[in-house]
Amino acid sequence: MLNLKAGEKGIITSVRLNYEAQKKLLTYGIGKGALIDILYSPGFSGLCKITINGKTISLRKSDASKIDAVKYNQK
Amino acid sequence: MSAIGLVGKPNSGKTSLFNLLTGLNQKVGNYSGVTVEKKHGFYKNNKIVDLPGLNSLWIDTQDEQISQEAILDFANNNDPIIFVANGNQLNGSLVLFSEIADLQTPMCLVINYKDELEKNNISINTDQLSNQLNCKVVMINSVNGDGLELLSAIISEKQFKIPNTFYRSKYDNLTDEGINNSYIKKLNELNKNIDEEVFNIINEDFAQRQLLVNNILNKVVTTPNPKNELVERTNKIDRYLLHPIWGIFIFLLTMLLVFQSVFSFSSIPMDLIDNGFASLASWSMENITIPWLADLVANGIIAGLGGVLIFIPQIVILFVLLGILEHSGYLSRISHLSDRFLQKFGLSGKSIIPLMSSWACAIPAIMSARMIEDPKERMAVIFAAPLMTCSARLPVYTILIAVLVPAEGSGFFNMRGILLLLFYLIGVIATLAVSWFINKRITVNSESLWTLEMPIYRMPNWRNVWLNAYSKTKSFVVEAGKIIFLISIVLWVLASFSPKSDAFIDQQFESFSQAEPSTNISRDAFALEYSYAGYLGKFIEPAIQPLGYDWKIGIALITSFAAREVFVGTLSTIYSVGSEDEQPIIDRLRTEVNMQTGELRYNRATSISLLLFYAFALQCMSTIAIVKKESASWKYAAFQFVFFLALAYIFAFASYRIF
Repeated sequence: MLNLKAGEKGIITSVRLNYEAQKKLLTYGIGKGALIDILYSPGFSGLCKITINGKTISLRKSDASKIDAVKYNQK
Repeated sequence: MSAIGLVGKPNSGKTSLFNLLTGLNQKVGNYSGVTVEKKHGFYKNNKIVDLPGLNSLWIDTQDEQISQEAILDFANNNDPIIFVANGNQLNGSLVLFSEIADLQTPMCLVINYKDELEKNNISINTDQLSNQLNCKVVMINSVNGDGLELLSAIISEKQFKIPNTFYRSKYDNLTDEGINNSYIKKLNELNKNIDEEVFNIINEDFAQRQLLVNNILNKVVTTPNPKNELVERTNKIDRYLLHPIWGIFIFLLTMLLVFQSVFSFSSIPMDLIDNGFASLASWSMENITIPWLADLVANGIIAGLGGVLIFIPQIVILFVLLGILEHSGYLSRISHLSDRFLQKFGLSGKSIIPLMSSWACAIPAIMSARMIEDPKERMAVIFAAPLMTCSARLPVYTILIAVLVPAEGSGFFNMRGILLLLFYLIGVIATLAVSWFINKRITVNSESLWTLEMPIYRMPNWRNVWLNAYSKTKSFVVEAGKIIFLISIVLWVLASFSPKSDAFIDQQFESFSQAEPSTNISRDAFALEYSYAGYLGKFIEPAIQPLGYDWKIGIALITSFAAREVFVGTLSTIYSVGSEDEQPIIDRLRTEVNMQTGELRYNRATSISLLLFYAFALQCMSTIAIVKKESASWKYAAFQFVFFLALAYIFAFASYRIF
């Protein structure tokens, strides 16, 4: 999802973290097919901030780099 | 009396609702063997249990495990559960609701943050939702209590109902243990070792639930405006508060304010407590006629109580301020900003608050480490935090630095100030190094995912802020207070009693005064030499001689185990200064001669060695008591004490050789 800029929406296509981490993400609603809003891309703090289903969370760059997403164009 | 459980995701406002229902009528403790907070209270003759927040029955943390076990207990006893959902995140909350609904215990659904939903023009048809779920649904605002009367009716009229199942059929197989037990058992077995096959099961479980929840929400929720104003507002504020320059500036300013407030606002109440106990002590010295009893009451019991209560202002102020930061949502931003730096030491942004609070006092700091979810990181912080330069080290540092550096330097740079700063730096470096070391040793799973929830900005709820500070203070006074009080009494016994008789000491004192009339030593100071503490001081003298100390410093080391600042008071007694003011003590220490070498006792080597000893040694029984309480282990507290003592000894020894 690091290919997306702040303010863009994306759809998750795959998660390449270990299964334990993937399960944890699922409990937040983050899984294949989920729609996310990128609010803050990792710059200085090394964290990116995303919103999913009204919930906002920060993820470390190293974890976020293993979550693939494509840009979602709203019509 | 039946118990009612409060269940919900973290940040759903569950604890606000708990505080609203129970007020001061609540009990906070620990689940046995762990340090997950256990809270229960009473509302209209019903026992309300606030369970730790959880994200799913597919548990991940210790908090969630406790919660899962408790929910299973509720379901097995057919006890009702109030499910609290964050109205802004209804989708995710209802997925968890569906998991618990499948355990088939009576429930009701509370949708919180009614006001925020109204502000965003989001309307929820609660009647229809209630029909879909087959249990009562109410909307409330847990901050001001709007809508509480509906929940109150459900509780008092026992209108809880067993909701419809969602996805239960998947695990429905009746065994001797009952459906729920075998369901949870199966879940936990799968959860233990997640491979691709298990992950697919979990994924399918969530996908099905999500589908069902979406179907329901599509029917009952109307959202005319796709933009959530509160989220937008939060994002706008975050543009400044998470900004690489402004964000850091505001963060440092906030921390400076917090740290400064704990320091300065607490000084007046602390002085009041200090003076209050001092006058209480002198009153009892005058009014209790039996000398040993008067001494026990004044210098043992009252001093011990004072030693516990003196920490209350700092604890209250820190937790009120932290409560404001937490409830406003800013705390997550502080963690966000500091994460990258702390990662280098095996910590995360969640450790920043406990570590910085430690500059004021390690006690509230260690208590605040509960906000760190990762148990390993939390233990590392509890271990390392006391190395930060707390306020009790200041009087010790001030006196020793004044002895070391003769005159105040002129000009902009002051040598004493620079040295003091250097010791603060030593504290920070030592803390980070030790956390790194401890983390290296206990980290097993380095690939775990780190997430940080960023709630929207809200006005803090004062009731919650106050109740949290109150319960933290209460638990400190009750739990750690017992240990501190006990050790104070032991230290008093050591300093007041002697294996020799009073007559013997009187005789020795008289012959000493006659032999050396020039020395100006009081009877009290002389008696200290013959007390158990004095003998202990002499007993440890061979061990501390390599550090440049004599038995007199040995006594001060032993008594200042109560608290570092006691060092100053003990020195003033030993050298019969008759005042706890700084200057007379400094003057006296400067002239003290080492009998064996004829050199000054407090020369450069000894002073630096003592400074370093106090920088590292865990000379604080209150810290040990709180570490024991927060780690739920005497072994951990003992290991920490020994480890720090070893560090202190090595640094003091090395510096005594070098300087």
